[in-house]
Amino acid sequence: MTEGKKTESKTVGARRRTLLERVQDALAPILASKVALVGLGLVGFWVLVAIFAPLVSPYGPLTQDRYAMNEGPSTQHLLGTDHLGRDLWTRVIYGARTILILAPLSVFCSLVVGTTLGLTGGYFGGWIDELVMRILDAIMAFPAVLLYLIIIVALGPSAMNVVIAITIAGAPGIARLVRSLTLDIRTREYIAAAELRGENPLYIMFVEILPNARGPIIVDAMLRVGYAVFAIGTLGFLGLGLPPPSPDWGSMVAKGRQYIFINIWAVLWPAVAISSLVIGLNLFADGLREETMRYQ
Amino acid sequence: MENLETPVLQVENLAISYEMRKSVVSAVRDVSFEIHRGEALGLVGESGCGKSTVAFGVVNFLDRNGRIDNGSILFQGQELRGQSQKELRLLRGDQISMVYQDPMAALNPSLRIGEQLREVLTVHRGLRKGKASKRSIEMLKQVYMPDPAAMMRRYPHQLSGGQQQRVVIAISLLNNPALLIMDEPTTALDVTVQASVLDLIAELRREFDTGILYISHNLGVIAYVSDKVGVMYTGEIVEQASVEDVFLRPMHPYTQALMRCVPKLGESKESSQLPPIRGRVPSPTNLPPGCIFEPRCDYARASCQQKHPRLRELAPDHSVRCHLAEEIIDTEWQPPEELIPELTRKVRQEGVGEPILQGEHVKTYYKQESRSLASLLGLGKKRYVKAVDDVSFEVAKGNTLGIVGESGCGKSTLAKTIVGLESPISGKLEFLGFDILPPVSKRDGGLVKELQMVFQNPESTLNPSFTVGRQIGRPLRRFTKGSRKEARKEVIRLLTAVRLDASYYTRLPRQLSGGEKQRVALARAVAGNPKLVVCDEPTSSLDVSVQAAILNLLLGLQEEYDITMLFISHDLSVIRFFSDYVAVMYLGKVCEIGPAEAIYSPPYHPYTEALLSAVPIPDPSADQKSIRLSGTVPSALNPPSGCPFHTRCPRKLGGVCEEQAPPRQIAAEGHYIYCHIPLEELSKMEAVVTLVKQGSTEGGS
Amino acid sequence: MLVKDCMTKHPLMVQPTMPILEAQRYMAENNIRHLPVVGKGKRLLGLVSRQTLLIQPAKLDSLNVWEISRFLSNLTIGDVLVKVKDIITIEKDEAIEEAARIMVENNIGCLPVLEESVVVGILTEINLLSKLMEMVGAQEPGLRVTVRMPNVKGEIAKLIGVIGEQGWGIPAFGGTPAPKDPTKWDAVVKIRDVSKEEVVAALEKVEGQKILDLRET
Repeated sequence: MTEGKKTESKTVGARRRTLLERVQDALAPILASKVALVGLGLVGFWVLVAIFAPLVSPYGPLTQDRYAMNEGPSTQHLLGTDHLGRDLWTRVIYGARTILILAPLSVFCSLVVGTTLGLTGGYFGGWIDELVMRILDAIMAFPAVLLYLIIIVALGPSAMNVVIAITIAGAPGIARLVRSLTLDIRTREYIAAAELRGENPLYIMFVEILPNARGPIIVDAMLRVGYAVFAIGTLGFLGLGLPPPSPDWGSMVAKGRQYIFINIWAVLWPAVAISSLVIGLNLFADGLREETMRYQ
Repeated sequence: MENLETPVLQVENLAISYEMRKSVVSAVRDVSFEIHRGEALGLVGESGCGKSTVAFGVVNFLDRNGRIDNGSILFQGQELRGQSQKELRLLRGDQISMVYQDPMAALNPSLRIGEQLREVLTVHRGLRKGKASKRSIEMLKQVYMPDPAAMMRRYPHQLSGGQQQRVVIAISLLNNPALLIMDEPTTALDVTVQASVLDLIAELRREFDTGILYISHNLGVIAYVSDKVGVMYTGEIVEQASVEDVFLRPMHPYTQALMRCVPKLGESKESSQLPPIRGRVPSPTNLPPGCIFEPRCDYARASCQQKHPRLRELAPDHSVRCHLAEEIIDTEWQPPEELIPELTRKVRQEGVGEPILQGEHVKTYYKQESRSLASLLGLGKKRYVKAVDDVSFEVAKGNTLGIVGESGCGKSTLAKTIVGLESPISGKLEFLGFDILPPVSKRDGGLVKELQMVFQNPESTLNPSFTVGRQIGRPLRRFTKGSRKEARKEVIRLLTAVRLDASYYTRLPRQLSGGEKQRVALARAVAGNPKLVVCDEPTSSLDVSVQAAILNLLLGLQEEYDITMLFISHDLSVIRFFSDYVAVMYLGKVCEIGPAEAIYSPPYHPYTEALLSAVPIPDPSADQKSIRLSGTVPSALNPPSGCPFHTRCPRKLGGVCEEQAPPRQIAAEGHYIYCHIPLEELSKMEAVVTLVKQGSTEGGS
Repeated sequence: MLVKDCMTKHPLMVQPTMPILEAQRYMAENNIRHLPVVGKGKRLLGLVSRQTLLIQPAKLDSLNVWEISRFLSNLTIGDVLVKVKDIITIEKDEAIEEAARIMVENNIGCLPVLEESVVVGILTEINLLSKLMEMVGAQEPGLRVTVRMPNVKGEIAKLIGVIGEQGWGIPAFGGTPAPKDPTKWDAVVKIRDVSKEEVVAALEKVEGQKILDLRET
């Protein structure tokens, strides 16, 4: 054998790596970046708080205390109350629940839609690509907020429609990214080899191309969760999000704005919540991207 | 007394290492050499041997994490180590120049050529613009640039690769440096362009009396350019001598093995073998104790493992780093036991079998994207890149057809057309009696299975996300029936057939070397037991010794599975070795096609003659005619009328070549030449290459 | 035969910041007597020779012992070189006779060769001597014959004609006026692949010319 008896004694990969090793490998970039860890901390705080909401909040999100309206922080209400006497701390953490479900869900949906469109356009090229790109261009021509407005007004305010709106607004960006990755990967010889085997296009797109594009897509998706949180906040602020009395951060800010000179806390805490979550998500995504790109 | 003896560059015991994340890797361990004025030293070695690092170390261009651990570098007698950055910069600008492989990377794409040339003079010498321009134009003349004054106003992207490299060479010589370092300057160029650039370097060396450090992995080029040669292996020089001594009387086992595994222009697979070097180049962090070549050496003894050999001068001006060099007699070398089955070949049956692949007047054109408004409306004139322009050929069962030509000749497009990745616009193409004009997506599954391909670039031929086992298994499962377990067993058998052991099943491509990836690609291609395999330059990016192994593997697989092969390459020696029949292509057309021996001996098509005279041969004693083509390959968008070669043909007859397509002349059974020159004239041509080794001459055989 | 064909290209050169002691060592190690000093772009700034590196006692007069050693160790060649305006140089396209004349008239052993004030080479006595050897074919094996002839037009042609008739090869040919006799001229010819007798026989026939010397070299 020409690779002979003196083959390298390195046995990395000679056996299937254990699950633990694979988890460690996946986590390594996160643990290596301080920026990512800070981001993870922030996000983690909100996730924990959202999960354990009933345990951590002394009141319900809808419970009103007529005698404590628009008050600042006190021993009874840690962060204060809003104009209807509802505990701000409780409303904020219940609001986290909604957002932490809706935001990732919307991003996931736009990932699915965007990736499919991007793969299709990038792989087939020609008129299919042109068609897909023009449609996406049309959508992207609208400023995001305007797009949300149009969609929510057309479909009506509800959680589902918020998801749809964010999906439609976010899909083109992802599609562009995926398309450019696909255009690059498409030129690789292993794709030609797959075509020569007579594999059908769906197989080639989703099994041969997609796994090799996942790095940048994942990082982009993380960033988009941040945007989605922000978008949901915006929609809520505009009154287009979840209908009251849901503890939606955006609408909390909107409502609290009316009383801002009496009670800034009702505006402050939801705003802080939105910003900290978005910053946390962005830091996490940035740190991750830095680590994965470092050895490129 | 003026001393002519001080070498321009004297390097002694140079050691360079790089700091990596977890360890320190020594890239160069012990390199010493001297270059005198007007002398050229060739540093040759395979990838990773440290030759480029030596060059960077000399001019102190090491990356941030590189440092010189030991040794001295004397330039014109002055020690370079320890000099301040300012002083080094002066030296680098005025007296040392470097030329790299990729001319586009050396030239600023946003500045005109003239500005870049002038810059050297205005910045370093303080010349005024007018004088600098004049001097630049003179220099361009000296590098044989056509129309130098006009060249000055062009941008780099408007020049061909060969012209760009000439400009880079001109820039490097403008300041009359005492030392010129060239790191693979012709590797990216076509063979004929390379030949004229090498001629230029030789001429300029005589003219300017510059010392040259020439680095390459191409043994032929080194043989042509150098006076002295240093052979490097894992950071050390293992043999150093005059160019004749190194190539004709090598003393180190590694050099001898290298010489053996390079295909020589006169040899075919029947008449010779390419014994590969077993084992792998050791990783720099895991070097063997004692002699580093020992694990791969056929002569190794216990003493070789214990003591690291020093470089000893065993003959005048011939140093070798080996304990046993005196006892080794190269001519008596026999292949070791384990290689013999790999190297024995069945005698080719006489007679030509049934043709399984036939092409007649195949044309594949690419539509040229036009940006004009007219074409957007469908009104513009359609332009086509005529990649394959009326090609006819035939391949008999069990044979190998080699297709050779330079870049742009259409050989890759022809391969893709046959395989179905491109669609021809006209012509007839038949495989096993079935029509294969439709692209692969429209072909019948059974047909697809019989026609597979091996690609050029080992880095992108495998999907990085899947294991080796899965990638070989996929075609197996698609093309054959059988259970999972059977498939797995078959994959392991295929791995063994390509000489990889079963542990490779679970490895990912990034854990494999280039040669190993290519083996996996081979296994994948033959998994479904196809009848025809198209190999598109499968060894072009591999080291010489790895190439030998892959070629042997291809031959072995061909025999075992009775596969017909189409082998595409730009390397004439490899094609000669590997093919039964050869087709020479130029600008989309076939110039000459026939049995391999017939192509490599007269009568030749004029292009074949020029190609053969341009191939660098790793044998300084060989006699090779020097036929250089002027001009560059015309664009395939607008190929010349009549014979496409007429714009550069040294034997052009006249008007007839420009007006009429050349007729097909039958030079012998199965040997066709497409040329206007009558056959009697062509037969009078002399052989281009005459090898003197062991009394044999190629060209007549 | 121009200067650029005879000179040593890429001579050893140094920058003016080099300390004197180092320069001395450099010249000794590399066995050279003259060292051009250049600045940016190999522009000639001056020349140092072994002599100029000897310190003039006058400069040291006012210093005490410690200052002297510090003064010495700080000296660079920039401080002691002979400046460019005081050096005789020559352009690379000049004829070598011109270079030789300059060297003889000025009694100097070395001429830096410039191309628009940039050093492109150096011409020394040794270079000229090597050229002389070439001109008389010192390295070529053959017969060296010195022929004295009248210093008159056509004489050389006669000699060459005779040699040419015999079909002999001439690797070298040179000539000078005869010493002490202005009416005569001496030609030195190197002829290849002949024997002494053949040469004598052939050249006897030339009128008015006498073989002064005939030897194998």
